Amino acid sequence: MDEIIAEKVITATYYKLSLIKEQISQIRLHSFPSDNPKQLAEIIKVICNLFQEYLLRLQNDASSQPVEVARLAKFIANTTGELASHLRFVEGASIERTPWNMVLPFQSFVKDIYQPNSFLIVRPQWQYNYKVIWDLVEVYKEHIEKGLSKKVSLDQKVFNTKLYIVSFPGFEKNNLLLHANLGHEIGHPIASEFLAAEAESAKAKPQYLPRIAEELEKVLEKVLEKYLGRDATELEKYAQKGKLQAHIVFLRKRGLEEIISDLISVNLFGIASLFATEEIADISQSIDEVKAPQYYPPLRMRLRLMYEELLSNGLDSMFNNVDAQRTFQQNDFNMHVLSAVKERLDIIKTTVSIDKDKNHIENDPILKIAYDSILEVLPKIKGFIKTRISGHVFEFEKIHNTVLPLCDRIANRIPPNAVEIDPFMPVIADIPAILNAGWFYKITCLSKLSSYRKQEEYVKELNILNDLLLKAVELSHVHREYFKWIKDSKK
Amino acid sequence: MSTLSKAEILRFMTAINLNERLIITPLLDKDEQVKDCAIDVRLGNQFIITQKTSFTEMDVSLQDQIKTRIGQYQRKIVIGFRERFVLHPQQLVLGSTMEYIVFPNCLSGYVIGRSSWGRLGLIIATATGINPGYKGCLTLELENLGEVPIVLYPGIRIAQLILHTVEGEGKYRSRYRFPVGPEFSKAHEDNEIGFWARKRE
Repeated sequence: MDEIIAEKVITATYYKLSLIKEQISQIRLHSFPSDNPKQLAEIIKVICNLFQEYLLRLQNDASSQPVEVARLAKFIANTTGELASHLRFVEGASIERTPWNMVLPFQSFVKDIYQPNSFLIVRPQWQYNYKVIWDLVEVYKEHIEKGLSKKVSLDQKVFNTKLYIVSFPGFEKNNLLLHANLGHEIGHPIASEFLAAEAESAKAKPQYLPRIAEELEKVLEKVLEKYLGRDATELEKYAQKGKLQAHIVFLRKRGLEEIISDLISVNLFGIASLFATEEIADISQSIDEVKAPQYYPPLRMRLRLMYEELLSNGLDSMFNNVDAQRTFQQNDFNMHVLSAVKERLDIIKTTVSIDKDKNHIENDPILKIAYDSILEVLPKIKGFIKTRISGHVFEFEKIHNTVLPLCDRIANRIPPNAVEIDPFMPVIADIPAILNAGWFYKITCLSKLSSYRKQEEYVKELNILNDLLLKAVELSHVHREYFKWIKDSKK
Repeated sequence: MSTLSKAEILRFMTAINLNERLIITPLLDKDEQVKDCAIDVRLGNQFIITQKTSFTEMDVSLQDQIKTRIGQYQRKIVIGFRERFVLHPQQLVLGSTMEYIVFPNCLSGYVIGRSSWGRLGLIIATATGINPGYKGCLTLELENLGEVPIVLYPGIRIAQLILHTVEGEGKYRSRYRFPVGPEFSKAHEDNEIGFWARKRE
């Protein structure tokens, strides 16, 4: 029986693998903003070839046990189905469906932060959120080696790449300002580096676990009564205590993943990142609760921590810098921008000064233990981030030298790709500066339209702004690459 | 009205006041691009290509159909920098300048091909005038009049701007607002079409 099943599965799977390869040939005909989606398609094709060869070997190997052959064939069949679904990552990354102007610039920005062998794919998704998947190639490798009992030799050159797939809400394709949230997604793999290092050092020396156990012990009786009632047996209580401790560790991990990513985002993109998170908070049903199943930290807390991080990075200096003020008093528009930004920051300051989220956590002993542990480790996290992304931390001096002049360009309907006080000595803008200039302009000029209820005009203006910003990201990238080429060719 | 010399072009490009400045951004290579009486501009990487369709005509007076027809007849594509774009003989393609261009109100100009490309059979613009106060990338109507396909690369210097001062001051008003790539035709938005074209039953 096993033999018959194996035969059937092998033939059907071989056919499916051929179909995937055929689809890859079709998808490769699409235009992509970079070669990376094609590289993923190539990896999937390599796996398909490997599976097909393996299936043929299985079929011709008389020495193998039918049960084992059936198991291996089924493993390949299931993996094939999964693999086929990953073609969506390639297909979605086409020029038509992505903000193509920003893909290459964003890719080189990220490459500086991750490793040189990393490659990034930007793709849309229908869900209204941002997401990142990383180490997919590593997962393929481990899965195949485990499933096929390491009887395959995987080409190290192909499988030694780090792949990051970043998803954005598809219909917001051209909304570059909202894409400041990508800073948070860039942060996730780095957050996982921190958590992995923390787990590793916990092996040598207990870190946060004893403290969590100690704190849980203090509230245990009360909590157990809530979960189990008064008549629970000792055994039930013991089992529940284990579950509670695991849940606290999980809540702590989920909280840290998001908070570290937020802090990375705000360090990379500055105020733009805070404003983009605020926009998400505006449409959230609750900004004070920690809800299952995702267990995101309360958005109010996230905004608070981001705001505090900006303060410690020198946020106030942009308003207090006397020399800068003197310079910009000559320019009414810049003063107007600064005061509009200050006004918006004051609103955020008020929002984060409200304690509703803290009360929500305080009133739940389990959440309280998890979040106390998170706040305890925060200083260490901040130090880790500054070292990990050193050289990429948003500097507030940029606001006066770069962001405000770029904002001025937007107001004059010119893409903010460079500061060209002397047009023959341009200072090429980077993605964070462009994003901040865009946000500053939106807050200064477009918010007015919204409050005067001129919605149609708002739509038109926001479209113009998006066009100018995307063009700026594209032009600044080309400009930088061209200068690099000139410099290299002179060597 | 006189054609601007190199010195004048440079003077307009360095005007302190942004409203009086001629902006060509990014200007990747000043020495190569600013010529004696012209500025070279580069080919952008967005194109509107035309394709064969099943409908029999393009009639701009058919307001309810024309947008759909343009959508069926023309399609926007993007070619990566360093990639090839092949323009076939007799093919019409809309491209644009890579540079974003801003004319002050006291300048007007026109865009023409570079003779090196013209000699290969490439025409780059038929609607060549640029009004005072214009802001945006310039749409180029590319056509290959030669007998063999011409390979184009986004970023190459493909056209040149000739500039003139305007007597008095002009102010640009157009339906093409701050384009960042080639734009589809909006001929059907001419108000007077309703007068010149008899309404069909």
